[in-house]
Amino acid sequence: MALLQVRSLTKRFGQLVALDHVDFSVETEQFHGLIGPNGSGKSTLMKCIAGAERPTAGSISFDGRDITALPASERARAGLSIKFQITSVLPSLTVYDNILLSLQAHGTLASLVFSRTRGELHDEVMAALAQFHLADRAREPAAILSHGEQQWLEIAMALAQRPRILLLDEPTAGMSLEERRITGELLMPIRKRCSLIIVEHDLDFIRDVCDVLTVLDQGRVLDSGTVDHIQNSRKVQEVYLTRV
Amino acid sequence: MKYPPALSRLSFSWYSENAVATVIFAVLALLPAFLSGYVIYIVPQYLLYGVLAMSLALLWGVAGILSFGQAAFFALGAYAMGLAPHWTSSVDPFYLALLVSLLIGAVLAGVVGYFLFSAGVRDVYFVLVTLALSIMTEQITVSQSDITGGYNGMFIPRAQLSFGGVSLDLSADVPMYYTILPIVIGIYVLLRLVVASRFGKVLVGIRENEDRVLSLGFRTSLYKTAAFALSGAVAGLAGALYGTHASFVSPSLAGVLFSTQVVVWVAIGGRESLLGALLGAVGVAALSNYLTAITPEYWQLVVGIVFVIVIMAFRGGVAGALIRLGSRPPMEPERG
Ligand SMILES: Nc1ncnc2c1ncn2[C@@H]1O[C@H](COP(=O)(O)OP(=O)(O)OP(=O)(O)O)[C@@H](O)[C@H]1O
Ligand SMILES: [Mg+2]
Repeated sequence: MALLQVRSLTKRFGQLVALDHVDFSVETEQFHGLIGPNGSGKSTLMKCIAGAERPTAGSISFDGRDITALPASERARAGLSIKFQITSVLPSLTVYDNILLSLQAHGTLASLVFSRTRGELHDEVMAALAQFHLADRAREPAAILSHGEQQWLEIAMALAQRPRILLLDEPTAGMSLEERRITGELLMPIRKRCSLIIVEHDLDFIRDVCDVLTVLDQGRVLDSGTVDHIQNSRKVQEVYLTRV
Repeated sequence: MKYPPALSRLSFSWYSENAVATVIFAVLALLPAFLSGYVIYIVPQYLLYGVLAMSLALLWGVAGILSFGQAAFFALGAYAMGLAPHWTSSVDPFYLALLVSLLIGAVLAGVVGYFLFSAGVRDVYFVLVTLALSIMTEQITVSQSDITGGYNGMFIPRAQLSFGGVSLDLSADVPMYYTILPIVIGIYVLLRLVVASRFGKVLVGIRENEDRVLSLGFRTSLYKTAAFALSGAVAGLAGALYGTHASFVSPSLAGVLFSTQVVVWVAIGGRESLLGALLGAVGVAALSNYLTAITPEYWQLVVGIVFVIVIMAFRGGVAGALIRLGSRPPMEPERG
């Protein structure tokens, strides 16, 4: 059974149908790319999975459990971590504290107030920062990081939660070529730890990273399959590749 | 994006606020040695307004939750101080009233907050409900006139403290001053520690981007409830002390006008800083008091104008402006 199973998901914003009976599934340890033209519903699908948007109809189950009605905080606790398309680090907190809070987000309020584990967590925070080349920025407020660094910080925050599925919505947007390359390298070691759903416009990048691709167009699944399959898919070539 | 003052807020401002606070509290501690009479009588009252303002700064400045209900907790605390002598003959009613005022504030805010925040009530809707809380408290204190004295208010004798054989008569101004000042300092220090704690950081995160904090897995409604309960407890405690200090409480203490004044103090002083809120309350209360004497017709107008000018000139209030002034100019921080 798939780790994440989205069935017939529909999301309307007033008249606009952003998602139209979308079926979508992700296997354990699969790297799943989500592509499609602007406005095709990629971010909306990601948000519905993470609980930031409520679907109009359809269901989402994770690890055999129906999570359609679960609030975002509970999905995070169940193992879903998201990096939104719009970077949303906590700007006035330090880079360090952004990670520290991410590490503790699944605990109770009491454990946050009374635990004396701050020292133990320190090593974990620094390790996470080092992995994303942010160790020497630890004491700075997240707001003054460059756009690319904020993206890394967000990925680091999401990973700090030890997710079972990581959702990344356009992690390389606004990055230089060099930064993209580094991001790709940073994602490689994740393979052994969790599944990944990644939205990207950079097809070269996504080819390198993903096992499986799903193509959305106007809120519908156009095609889904291995990278080779999608590259040779006539439907996709007609609707998507020629347009982008 | 505009350069945020966050860097300064974390390093510069933490230490400099501590330094400024130390100086101010030291001056306050020495004040009765140099002054006597009205100043020594009135300063504790302003400081208790300051505590009320800090209770709002915690909620509004840190967690981004604006409440117009702080006066309700304050008034209930004062009524608890007035009523406590009727409840007990064995325990010292002063201590009992302090405890009860803390509990009333915490429980009322906790219960109201829990239901509102878990239902997803935010922003202006929360403001409206807390405003209603003030109005209801005012109405109840009016209608329960058998207990509260209704519109006429209630006289509260100043407490006589006794601990271990030593007794302290708070009807004199200096003992009252030295009872209230340490409590105010204690509350300030406690709230500073709360803000700097991980709990405080989650509250900052909620202010900046609640959905993000939620998607990290924090049950944000619990954090907001806890912040509101703490704020209610602090406001209640301040109210109890105010009751014994002023020797009087009336329904207007819970009213919309007073609730609004609290918001004005904090906005002028600067909601980003607890000290700013404290001093904002002291400053505006002193100014209002002074103006009532010289121009009884226009003092509210003058305070209103000051409010508009401060808010238009610097949105973060006086403290916010000082923090920005003290922070380093925007520049790329050096690496390494
Ligand atoms: N909150 C919202 N309210 C109304 N319409 C929305 C909202 N969010 C998204 N939409 C609309 O839904 C459609 C799908 O948007 P979505 O952001 O999911 O697209 P996308 O595939 O992520 O596009 P992009 O590649 O530009 O990020 C768009 O037409 C968008 O305008
Ligand atoms: Mg998108």
